[in-house]
Amino acid sequence: MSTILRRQVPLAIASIIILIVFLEYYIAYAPLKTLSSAIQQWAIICATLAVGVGVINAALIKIDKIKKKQPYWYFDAWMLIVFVIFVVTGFMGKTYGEHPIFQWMMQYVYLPVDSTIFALVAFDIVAAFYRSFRVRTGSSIILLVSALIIMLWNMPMVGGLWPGFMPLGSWVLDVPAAGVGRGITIITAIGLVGFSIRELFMKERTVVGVVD
Amino acid sequence: MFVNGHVIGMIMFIVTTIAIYWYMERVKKGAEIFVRPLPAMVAIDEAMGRCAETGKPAHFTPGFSVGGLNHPIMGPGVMAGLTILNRVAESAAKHGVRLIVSLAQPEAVALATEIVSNAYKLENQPVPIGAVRFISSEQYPYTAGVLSTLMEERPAANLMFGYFWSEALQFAQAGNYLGCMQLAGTDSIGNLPFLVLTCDYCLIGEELYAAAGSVEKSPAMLGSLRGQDILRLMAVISMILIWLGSNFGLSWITDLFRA
Amino acid sequence: MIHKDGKGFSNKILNLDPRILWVILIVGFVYTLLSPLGLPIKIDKYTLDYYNFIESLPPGSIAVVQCDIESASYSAQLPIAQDLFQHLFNKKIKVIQIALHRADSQVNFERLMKTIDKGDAVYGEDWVNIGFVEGKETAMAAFAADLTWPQKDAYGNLLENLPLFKEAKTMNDIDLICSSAGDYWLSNLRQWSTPYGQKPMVVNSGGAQLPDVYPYYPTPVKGIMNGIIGAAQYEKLQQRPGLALALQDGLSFVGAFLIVIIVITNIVQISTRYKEGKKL
Repeated sequence: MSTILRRQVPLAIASIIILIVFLEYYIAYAPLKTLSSAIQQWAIICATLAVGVGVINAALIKIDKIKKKQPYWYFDAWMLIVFVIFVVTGFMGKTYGEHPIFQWMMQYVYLPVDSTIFALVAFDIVAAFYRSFRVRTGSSIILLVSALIIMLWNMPMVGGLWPGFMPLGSWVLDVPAAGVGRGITIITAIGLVGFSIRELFMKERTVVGVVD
Repeated sequence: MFVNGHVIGMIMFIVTTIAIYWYMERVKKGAEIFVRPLPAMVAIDEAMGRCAETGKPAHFTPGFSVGGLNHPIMGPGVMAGLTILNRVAESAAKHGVRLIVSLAQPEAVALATEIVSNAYKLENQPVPIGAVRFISSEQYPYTAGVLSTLMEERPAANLMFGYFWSEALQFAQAGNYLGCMQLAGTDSIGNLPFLVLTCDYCLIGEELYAAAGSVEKSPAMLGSLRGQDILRLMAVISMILIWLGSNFGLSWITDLFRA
Repeated sequence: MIHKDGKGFSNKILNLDPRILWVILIVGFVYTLLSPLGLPIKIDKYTLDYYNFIESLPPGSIAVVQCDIESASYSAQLPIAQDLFQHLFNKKIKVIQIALHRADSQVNFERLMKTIDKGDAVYGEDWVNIGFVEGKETAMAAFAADLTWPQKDAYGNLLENLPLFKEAKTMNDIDLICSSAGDYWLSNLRQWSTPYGQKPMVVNSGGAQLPDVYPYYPTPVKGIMNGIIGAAQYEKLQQRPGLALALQDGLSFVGAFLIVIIVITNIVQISTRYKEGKKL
């Protein structure tokens, strides 16, 4: 009974929902559209509620690390303190996030740190290009040459100093790159269709945690 | 009765569904379907073997999606990553390796926990404490959290299967710095080149959705892969027809696809 | 042999500490910011088509803009969004702005609008800011079917009372879709453009999204602003030098630096392997 509840029922629910959303996309029938929209709204509500589960999971892991005084446990303690501060200050004021302390923390603490993590990508790109863009095989030569063409095309000064180069870069983007991009998009969509149909037939059991 | 412009798509979907069902039944009755092995999936055992030899854990993440698993583009990639987690957890349990799973989707916590516990219990291994970790549902806090996990835990293998944005490169670089064996797969075209460049093996596009089943070779998986070939064929024929219709003034063809 | 800890020159070049490269990168980029070289830039056809399409719209046309500016990349997205909105206001094109993916977009949009010269545009009549609406693609589809579906704008005004919504009721009444929302342009294409007869779109894309957008150019995507580079070209077209143009020398330096290190490492690698009698 518990196996049916834990595995078959969720698979059946998923299968029915896929069928409803599939039918709504192809058949013009207003009640179906209403039902499909309601299901999608409920999915968003369930996902929002799941945030609580995630927070509890994260907190339990941090608390466990703090109790055992594992390396860098003080960062986990600080994370929990900051979490509480953000939640408390967020609920102060008439609407969420209105309080000046919360807005100050968002603007002068969270946003700069957020931007910093994003900015690290630049350094990772330099390191990756240095280490990985090395000629080893025939296909790596093609990759290298096309990457150099695109990098030159993307450099603002190249267009100004050597306008004749721009059509070459545009050709690489318009013909091989766009063609391959379209190809990968189409085959990925086909793979997704197969995945959805397996779920429709309740055969994709890994989504309910079944290990065969 | 039908939505404008979707009739041909509906017919193709129905034909594909029937084809997949038919091939599934054929495989159940003993038909053989060849599926080429995916190097990234074959290498999972090698990665876990390396972790077992060095006594280090393995790290897995199914990537990031805005708004959780609901996202129409990112959600399916993350779900596909979670199906691969099945295989990864199974291999980790067999080799006695501690697995760490970092998640950016709170609704995936229960699912990943179920997958990991089932895998370890089947091998009569204790489930690692704190194996499944929800980091954050925001992109850069998630990135920072995973980088922190990698630096603290120092895994010997870093597995990234799912949907990724710019964090793909950051994770791969951190893995390179730590000397991890790196296996990856994504359907995100913009960030695929970074993973191909920096990882030992990489799944591209559709391979991500077929990966889990390419190893287990169940009738569902094999039938589905063959059925997808039918859809691929229909897509190519449609493209040729539309090209003919657009370039040779055969408007009845393009009107048919707009029906 | 190329050894990781080898002492020869080629080993040093091939096993350089990335931190040295990072220092050179930072120093060079900051130098070009403080002392611009004034290198010329060329307008590419995607940016030119973007600009020309907006130029071709008559005053009074209506544009829907999805402007989801992420806080982390605010500095990168700001010039792109600024160019778009300034052009729309200069051309007296009516604007309906909505954010559908990030709750912090509303805050970032307010910051952006402080930098835009709206001229004599009247709120409610010439432009409306609906703010952030939860619901992703479901909300997008509902909004396209009825532009007053969100009911209120970001400031609490009822949409049906605003003059702009007397002439713009559904996506059919819209002349241009502008996507300044990173990866979400595909959702705009699916929900706003394709179901309404391939409505023309212009896309503000970051560098990594460019390969995804190209297949849809030139229909229905009429033009693409390719990140900061596209924004700089746009500023040049508008003759309104700003942050994006100021960053071009720095971008040129970074590009040149990457090309130089790739070329040097490959030359050293090939020559070393040639000396060792090995194939590539």
